[in-house]
Amino acid sequence: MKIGIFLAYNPAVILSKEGLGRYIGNLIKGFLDSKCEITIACPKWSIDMIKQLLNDFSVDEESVNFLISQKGMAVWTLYEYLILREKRKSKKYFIFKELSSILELLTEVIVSVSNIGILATLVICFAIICILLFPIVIIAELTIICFNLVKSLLHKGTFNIKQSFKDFNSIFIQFSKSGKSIIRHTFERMCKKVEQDLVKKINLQSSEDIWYVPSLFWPEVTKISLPTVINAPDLVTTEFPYKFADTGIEVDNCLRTLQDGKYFITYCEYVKEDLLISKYGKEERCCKAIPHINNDMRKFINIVPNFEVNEEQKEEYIKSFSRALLQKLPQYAKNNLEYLHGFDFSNIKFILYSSQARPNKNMLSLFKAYRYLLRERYCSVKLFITGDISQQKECMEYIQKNCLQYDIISFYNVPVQILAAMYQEAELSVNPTLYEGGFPFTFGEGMSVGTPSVMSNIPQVMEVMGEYTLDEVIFDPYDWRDIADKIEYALKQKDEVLKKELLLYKKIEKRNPELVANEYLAAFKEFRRLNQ
Amino acid sequence: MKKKRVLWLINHSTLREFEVPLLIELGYEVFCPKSFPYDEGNLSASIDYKYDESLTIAKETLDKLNNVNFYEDISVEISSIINEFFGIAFFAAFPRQFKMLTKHFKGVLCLRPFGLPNGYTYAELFAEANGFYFLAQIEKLKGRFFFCQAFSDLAEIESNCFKNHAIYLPLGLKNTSISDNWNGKDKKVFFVCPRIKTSEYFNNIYKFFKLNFKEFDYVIGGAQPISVREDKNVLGFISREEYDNNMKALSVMFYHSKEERHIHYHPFEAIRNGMPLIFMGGGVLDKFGGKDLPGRCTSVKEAKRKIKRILKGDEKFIKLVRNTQEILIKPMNYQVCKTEWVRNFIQIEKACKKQSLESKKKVAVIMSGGYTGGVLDFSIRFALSIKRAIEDEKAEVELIFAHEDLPIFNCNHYFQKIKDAGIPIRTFNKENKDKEWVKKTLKLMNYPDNFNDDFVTVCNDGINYFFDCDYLLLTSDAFEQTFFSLRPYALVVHDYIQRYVPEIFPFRSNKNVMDCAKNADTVFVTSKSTMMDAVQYGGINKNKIRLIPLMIEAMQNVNNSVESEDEYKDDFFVWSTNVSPHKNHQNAMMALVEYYKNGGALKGYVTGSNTEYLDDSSNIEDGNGVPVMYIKKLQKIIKENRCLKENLVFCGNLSKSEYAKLIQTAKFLFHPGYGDNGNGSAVDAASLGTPTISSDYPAMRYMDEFAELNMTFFDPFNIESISSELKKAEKFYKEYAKKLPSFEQLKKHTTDNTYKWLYHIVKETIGF
Repeated sequence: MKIGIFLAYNPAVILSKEGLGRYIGNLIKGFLDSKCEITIACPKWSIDMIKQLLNDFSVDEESVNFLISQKGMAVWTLYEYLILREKRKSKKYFIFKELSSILELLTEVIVSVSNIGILATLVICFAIICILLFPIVIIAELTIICFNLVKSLLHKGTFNIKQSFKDFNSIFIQFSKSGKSIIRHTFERMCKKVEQDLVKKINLQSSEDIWYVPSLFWPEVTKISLPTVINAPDLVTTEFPYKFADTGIEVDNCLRTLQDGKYFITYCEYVKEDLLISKYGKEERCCKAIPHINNDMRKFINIVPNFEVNEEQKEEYIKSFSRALLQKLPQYAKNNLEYLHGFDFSNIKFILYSSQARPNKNMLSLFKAYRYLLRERYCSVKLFITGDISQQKECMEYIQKNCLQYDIISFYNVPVQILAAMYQEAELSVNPTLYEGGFPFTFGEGMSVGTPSVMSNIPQVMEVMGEYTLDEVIFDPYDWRDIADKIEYALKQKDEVLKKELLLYKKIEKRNPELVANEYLAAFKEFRRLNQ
Repeated sequence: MKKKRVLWLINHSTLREFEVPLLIELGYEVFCPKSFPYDEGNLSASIDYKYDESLTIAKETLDKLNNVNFYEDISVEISSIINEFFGIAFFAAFPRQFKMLTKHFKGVLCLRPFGLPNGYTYAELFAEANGFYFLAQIEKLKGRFFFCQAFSDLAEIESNCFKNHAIYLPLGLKNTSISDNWNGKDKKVFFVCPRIKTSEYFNNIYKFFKLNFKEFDYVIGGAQPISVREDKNVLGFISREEYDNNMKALSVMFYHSKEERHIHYHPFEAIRNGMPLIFMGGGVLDKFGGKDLPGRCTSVKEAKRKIKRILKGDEKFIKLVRNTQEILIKPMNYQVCKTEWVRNFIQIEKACKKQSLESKKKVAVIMSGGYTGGVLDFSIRFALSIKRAIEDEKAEVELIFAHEDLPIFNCNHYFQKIKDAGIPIRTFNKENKDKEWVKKTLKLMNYPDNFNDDFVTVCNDGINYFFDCDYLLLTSDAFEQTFFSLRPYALVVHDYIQRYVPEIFPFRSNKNVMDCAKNADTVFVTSKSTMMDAVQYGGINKNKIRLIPLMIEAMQNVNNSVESEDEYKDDFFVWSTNVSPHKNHQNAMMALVEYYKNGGALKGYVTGSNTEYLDDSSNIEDGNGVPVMYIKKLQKIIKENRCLKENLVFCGNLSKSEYAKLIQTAKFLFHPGYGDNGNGSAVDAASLGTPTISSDYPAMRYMDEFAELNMTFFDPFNIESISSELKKAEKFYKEYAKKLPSFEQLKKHTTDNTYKWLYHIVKETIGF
């Protein structure tokens, strides 16, 4: 089957560092293993990021075709040059530096001259060269100073430029149709153009059997003339309107995609029934629930020595490799750089919540549970998270107020290999989420490297875990004491919990990329049949 | 005289094949280690028992050595074995191993460096891993240390501690004869790049090769601990037969490295097999073959051009490359290398014959800060214990004691016991210095001057900043900035209370405290819970932490019971505390309210530093250096609860004898605090026959276990738990007292007995 995959992500997204990205990576691998032809439609700015994702999943980039949109690249390149590159150290006043080096060299020559006549001649020659070069040096330096000044005005907005821009921006926000800041408006328009351009290109050039869209972000995909299947992970914003109102997230696009799309795949029956059929009135035959692929993290750290080793030695290699990877964590820390300087990770015990920091992720309850465990129960473990909580005011305030910044540490955007090492070495994977699109990845990611999980008793979890007797590790996410109790229990009874969870994992483990890709292929075939 | 024996503490297979037979030929018996760390960098390491035959030491001794991992710390027994039987130790640049050998091995130490990436030196490597002071420790080895460089110019860029001790022992190959098996029929480039998915360094090399040489057919050799499945050209693990076939059939090898001081083995293997080698100039190969070899390239473009010629079958060029590249392998020839080894080994042999004259070690116990309570007691006991053991063992160690030059120490005889023990006392002032000062200091020592902190604190003893000492033992971490010393130091970390009760140090910077421990050579802790916190919170490597005994002392019974009875007419318990929030006063007071409401009849005598301020009638405004707001809050609680006002007696700080009298007369000792390293009053109480009821937290549990105190515990965060335990203790204090250890039993755990344990650890840490 020829499958098109639509990935019109904005330039800020790094798929390999997100759970969904790893899901897409696995799925592509599964499709290719099932002898499908893959074409990825994406903006030019995403090419490197997608190749990195393919690389992470051992997919040869040559085995995938690309349909690329160049739209927006000019604006993006300009933005990158003017704003993003400013962070790099500029070489200011380099001419003066060069001049100093030349002078140092000249001094060397002068001090080695023994004849006063030669010295006088040298000094005169040097003076003449200086006089001749002086205007050129001054002009060059002035040009650089002016250029730097303009750049600095643009970046730092010194003098009144920043204020003027702010004033202009507020007028723009007030009177423009979009009601957004000029930069945001431009950014969104740029992404929209790309989305439209990709759809146009698909309609003109594509001969794929089906187009698969892994997200609800792009309503334009409903205009693709070929059969198009959209993943509807969830619509979490409608479940947490108060909290999402504080964020910049907008759901208009998702709602439009839901309204206008025809064929959908969800990750669990709950979302299929609750969202697609009940709320959006989609036809049941046009919706399928296909549970996640198990994200096997072991492959990223599975060291195999050239010579024969027993299981125990092999595990030692993996452990030592993982610990060496953990030593790189400080470069991904969002804060605490001073604290983490010279910090030794080789024996650190920690619990891990690998998730983006979104309102439904219930971070604050976990932090409260952690505070209690650390301060009142003397659980010495640290709490590592992978989400960027710096924008979550209440979480930050709680951490500061309770001085937990040295024990709750956020490592953001860690590469998948380091994430695998974090799972491998964690005492426990914790997931206090209030709402998910499907059974959380964290369970399989942890268990694939032998780390058990404690989780929320939300329907998406219970749908899978319900039939197993795992009450000791399932908690009420609305009760931080319950979260704490279950974490403490699992920390103390880790082996027992692992043994119990292994039964469930054995089932989940079977959901490898090829198996799930085949379920997708079956669904695609069914949707194509309906489309005819 | 000791037999000629070498500890060859390296596990590199190819290197062993060359160097161990050579050493045997030089007349040495050689021991090779049979254990190495299973880490990703050691994938080409191996063990070999065959050289055990060369050894004439008893089998059981050899068996012991064969069970040792020489990359970690070794036991005292193994240390004495290696010192008895071996005169020389060869080892590679593993910082921990080097540090272990400097401390434990008394023979000649031969570091075997093979070069580092451009711009990086061994001095930097060891200073980063073991601290700047490690370079000074190397210097102190003087004539019994050699920097046995594998290439003649490695020491050129090094600090004096290496440069002044450099000798050239060239890197060789067991077999350098050129075979004529190569046919080059497989028109592909052979590139060797191991560990693509496990090493950033090799990953970049792989990317460089793929980017620049993608137009050719190629295969990539080298061990791949994680399979590179997506690239079919990466071979991963292959059998010896496949490897030989590749060496025979592949058309050309490309070698990328421009490292001036490091080379891999595979270019030589290509040459040995007769495969043409195209390599980049600027690296080690230039030193072997000059700059005119036909296989040498100055740019990627040139390399591609030359590779193309070979792949196209330009016989003339192939012949030219093959015929001229032999020169590159010549310096690796066994005989060539042997001549150099024999010539230079004389220096090592001379050093072996010299009787090592170990100078007397000078060690300083330093107490920073104006402590007059627990830390002062600890510091004094610590110094006295070491001094006592030095005298017992007649060890060649000079011990001095230093404290900060503060007015508080002027009029009191705080250090009388130190004086009485004959330990010289120094005073010092703390000075804050900036980065430039540190850099200059390092430069003057000829050490690398990579230093990050903007400011540091140093201890100026008015002489030479303790530079005359070999080792510093710091009993506290009271420094304004990161502590800086050119001498190795061990730090006693009493607790990480800020982790559990952060509010008690609102203005204390965490950085200086943390860095002081991170930069220490060793960290001493007195409880398992602090050990755990040092790892978990302090970020200190477990191997650097040593558990030393709790420096407790038993109190003698006070024999004036008649007076006591007169003085303390009521039945009471003692609440030993101070005014710090971790003492949990609020919960304790609320629990006492409950206790009295429920008919509790015992009075509470509150003693400890500044506890007189808790009395609601005291004028707290005058409180010197105490948390005024916190105390006012507590005074309010007392004022509002009549039962507390009527039953609590605030004694303040008592003299030792008054304190002992009070505790001896009490029914029990009450300790509701938490988060610290434990309350020593429980030991005082036990030695005076009074039981303790205590908060349940790891440090008190450890103290209970350490001194077998049989305390009774309650939950300090649960008011009901505290009050009900108070009630129980009132009723059963006699039963509790029966469970106490006898005075003799308790003495077993005091410094009278544990000083040897402390000394043993100090000795191992400093290495004397």
